Amino acid sequence: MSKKRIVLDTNVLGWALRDKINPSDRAKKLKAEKYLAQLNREDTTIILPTIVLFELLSVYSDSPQDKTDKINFLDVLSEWCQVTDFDDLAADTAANMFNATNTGTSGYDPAEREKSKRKTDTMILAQASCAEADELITNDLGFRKLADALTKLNICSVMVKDIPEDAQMELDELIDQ
Amino acid sequence: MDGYALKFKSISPHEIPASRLGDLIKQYEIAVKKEYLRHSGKSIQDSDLVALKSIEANCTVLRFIAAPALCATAALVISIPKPNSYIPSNYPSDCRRFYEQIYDIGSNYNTAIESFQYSQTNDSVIKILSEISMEDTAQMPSTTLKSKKTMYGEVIQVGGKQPKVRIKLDNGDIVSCIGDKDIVCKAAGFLYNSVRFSGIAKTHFSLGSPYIQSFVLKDIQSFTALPAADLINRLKPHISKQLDRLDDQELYFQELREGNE
Repeated sequence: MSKKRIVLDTNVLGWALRDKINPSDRAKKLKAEKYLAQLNREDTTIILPTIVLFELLSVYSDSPQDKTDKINFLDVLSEWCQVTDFDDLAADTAANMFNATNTGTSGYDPAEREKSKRKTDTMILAQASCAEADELITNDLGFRKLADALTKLNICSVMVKDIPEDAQMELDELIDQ
Repeated sequence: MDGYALKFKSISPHEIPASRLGDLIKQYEIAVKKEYLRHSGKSIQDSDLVALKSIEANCTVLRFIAAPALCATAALVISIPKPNSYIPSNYPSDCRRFYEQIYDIGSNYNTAIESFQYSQTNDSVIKILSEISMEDTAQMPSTTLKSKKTMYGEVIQVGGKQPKVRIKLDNGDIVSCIGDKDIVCKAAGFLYNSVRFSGIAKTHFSLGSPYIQSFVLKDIQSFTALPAADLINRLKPHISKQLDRLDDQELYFQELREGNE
């Protein structure tokens, strides 16, 4: 049986990758970290769409230290992570998805989400779809609703879900939420 | 009326490879099954749609017998739209792929095509569902686009008379690559191992889902994906400081997607 292929949205990766914990982010960060540990146990493959990579890379400044960090970050990715291109196939898929959410005839109300967000959503979703990802994990409810509409239209086969709750989560962590 | 047929008017059954007709039969079954599931929420059995190839004077006819519950869907799918019917927006992907295959055969063999409904008890009683002329098939747009691609998979076969490499992707699809002898010899060193490979792909675009028609291999490297948490642990030292500078990470990424000043 082939490994489950998972795409993580930018915020999920961001929470797992940062050290600083803001009070408002604590539960989300814990949830993201626990989920990633669970993925390790389940033997999954992480797929990184280049659109998500762009958003992550935007946090680097022009300082020499940041430039070095960025190169090292990319070096780790190139060796250990499947990065999926935004190529002609993804562009075609994204355009079909975007148009399906843009006309109002598909049952999805375009007023539900700004055009620029829908553009990014569909670009990421198209990359996930072309990479044959099984799931895309995002904390963004609007993104999940858009993907649901595309799934109903048979245009999207990737399951877009929130970070799964961990049944083992400690009581004090739940209280903090 | 419970039979449906597709007639390529001027192809002798001996001219067209059986595999091509087999693919077309399979795609019709897929399209009907998906459409039926989409409309009714129910799955169908393989025996609900039976394909028969009939040999007629100088033309090739594929006949299908559909179970009563499937008739409406079977008739709908086999009604081939004209090229100006906004096919990409009005038909689901599996139907588009079916129509693409029909138009491809029509164009390659220079034949008109007809689909019809017929009575199982009397073959001569027919109702024409669609007629596609040779002019129609010439109008169907298709193209190939060349672009650089990077993909991941396992090398499963190398060599032969030509320098070729076959790579199995994680989804089970197989990409057949050509390349110069040096790169193919390098690929041989990765036989049965996971690789990242890149090169120039020719992608075919028409009515159905685009697909890679050919791939010229330019680079191949050994590759092992790390499990999620291990990957995060390796990445973290090189980005955590930068992310920690964000007061509100969620807001930062949200604004990046909103595109507002």
